[in-house]
Amino acid sequence: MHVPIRSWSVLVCAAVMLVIATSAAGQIEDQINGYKGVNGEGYLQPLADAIGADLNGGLWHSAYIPQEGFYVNIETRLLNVYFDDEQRTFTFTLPEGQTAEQGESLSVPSVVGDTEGGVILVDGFPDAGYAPGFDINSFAVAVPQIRIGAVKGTEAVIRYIAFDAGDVELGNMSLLGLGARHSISQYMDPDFPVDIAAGFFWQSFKLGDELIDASAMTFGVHGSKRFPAGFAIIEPYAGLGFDMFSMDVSYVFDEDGPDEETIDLAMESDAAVRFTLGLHLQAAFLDLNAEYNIAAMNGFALGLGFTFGS
Amino acid sequence: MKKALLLISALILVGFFACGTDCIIHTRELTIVVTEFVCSEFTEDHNDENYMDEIVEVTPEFWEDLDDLLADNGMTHGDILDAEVLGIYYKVITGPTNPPWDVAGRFWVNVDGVQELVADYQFETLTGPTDYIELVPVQDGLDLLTDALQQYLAATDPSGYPTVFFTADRETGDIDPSPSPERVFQMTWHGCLQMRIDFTEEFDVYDMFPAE
Repeated sequence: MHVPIRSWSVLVCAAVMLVIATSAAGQIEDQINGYKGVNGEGYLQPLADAIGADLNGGLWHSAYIPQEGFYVNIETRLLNVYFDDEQRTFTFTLPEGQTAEQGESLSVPSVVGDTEGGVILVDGFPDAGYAPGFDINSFAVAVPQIRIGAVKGTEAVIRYIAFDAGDVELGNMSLLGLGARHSISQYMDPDFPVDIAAGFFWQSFKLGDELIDASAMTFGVHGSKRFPAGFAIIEPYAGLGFDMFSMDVSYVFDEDGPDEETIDLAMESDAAVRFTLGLHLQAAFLDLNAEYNIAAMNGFALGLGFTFGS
Repeated sequence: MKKALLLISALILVGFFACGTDCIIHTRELTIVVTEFVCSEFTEDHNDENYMDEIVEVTPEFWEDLDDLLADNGMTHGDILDAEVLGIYYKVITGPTNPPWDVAGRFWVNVDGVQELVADYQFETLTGPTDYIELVPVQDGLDLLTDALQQYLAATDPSGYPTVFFTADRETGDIDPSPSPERVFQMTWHGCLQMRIDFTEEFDVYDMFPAE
């Protein structure tokens, strides 16, 4: 089936948005270059949490998987999460044996926090400077993905994009995701009122010359109900999943200075349950969906896809 | 229905491109604070009590170091919001030989002929190389240094920079035990000022749903 030219425009737009999401990374690297160890992790943790929450969302929008038949669904997902007030700051850790002067606060901006940097006055030792944040309220990424099915009620889901970000600091960016979903309802009574499926998905995201190396995993159970509506199908859906995410960041501390060293941070988002509620609309080759996710970070996802095949 | 869905799809795409980056890219002005040390090197080499009553004057490449710091961060004087001297420190680089030694002394700063005491340290115990150790500053001296810093930042070229030099003096009894040919006191150390420089820089950030 011929895929309309507009679908390629959607995919190009999605790639542009992912580039935009990465364009801030170079500026962020400038700010964290002054941080070592736990302070670097504290500064970046909200960004790690957001990337993980976004990547683990928008992977599916229907629990219906036919037992057999060939189809390819080319999709774009816009995934967005919101930062809460707690994520705008973190507690600065001074080197062992050092304490802040009386009255000094150790609560300083994270990467998404207030835009004012400053200094913490330290008793008897050099005062410690802290970086400003970028005052970011939400974090969205757009990713393309393909679903291919079905064999014995199983479909494959693939996400892939790779390109040179065009910034000397960032270098290349790549996202690779692989997963599968399997129909549970094929084993159940044909009169069972809803479709049920289970799925697993793994993703790897890399940015720059070892700046960011992240991996995400999610698995869960999905349910949906298809309602024919003339030419279209309206399908509410819900799901329960379990997300895991880890991110390694590598940067140079005090570059070109007397204390230059490579700092490696390993950040993990707390494993979290994800509850999804959404609505899917299918008409001929067109798929639209919108969902809200309650997870480690709450947010929404929008999807646009084009299906060809059975 | 089919036509309606195609229309919705087209509107979504039009919305993407009509909104473009203006809806999702916003400019943030960040206040960035840089702290740096500007140091002068002192060398000690004494084997008799003539070490006492010694005055050492050091004119550091003070403003050159600050010019280099600004250049490293891509800044000019006009980019600076504010600056101040946070504190005064010493750092033992090599030595001392034959430790330990208890030393006392005073630092003076002279800015365009005006002299103020900036630190009066009492018997710091020296046993070997150290990291930066803070001395209790004298506020009048810090204020004079901060005024000099402000004058430096307001200058449009080096001819407008104030002249700054430091003096370290000791008196009899300012070191225990007294150096001798049998117990020589040799050490290299830095006297440093920790500076704070605030500047602003604009960044474009990606935020689809900003708070304001």
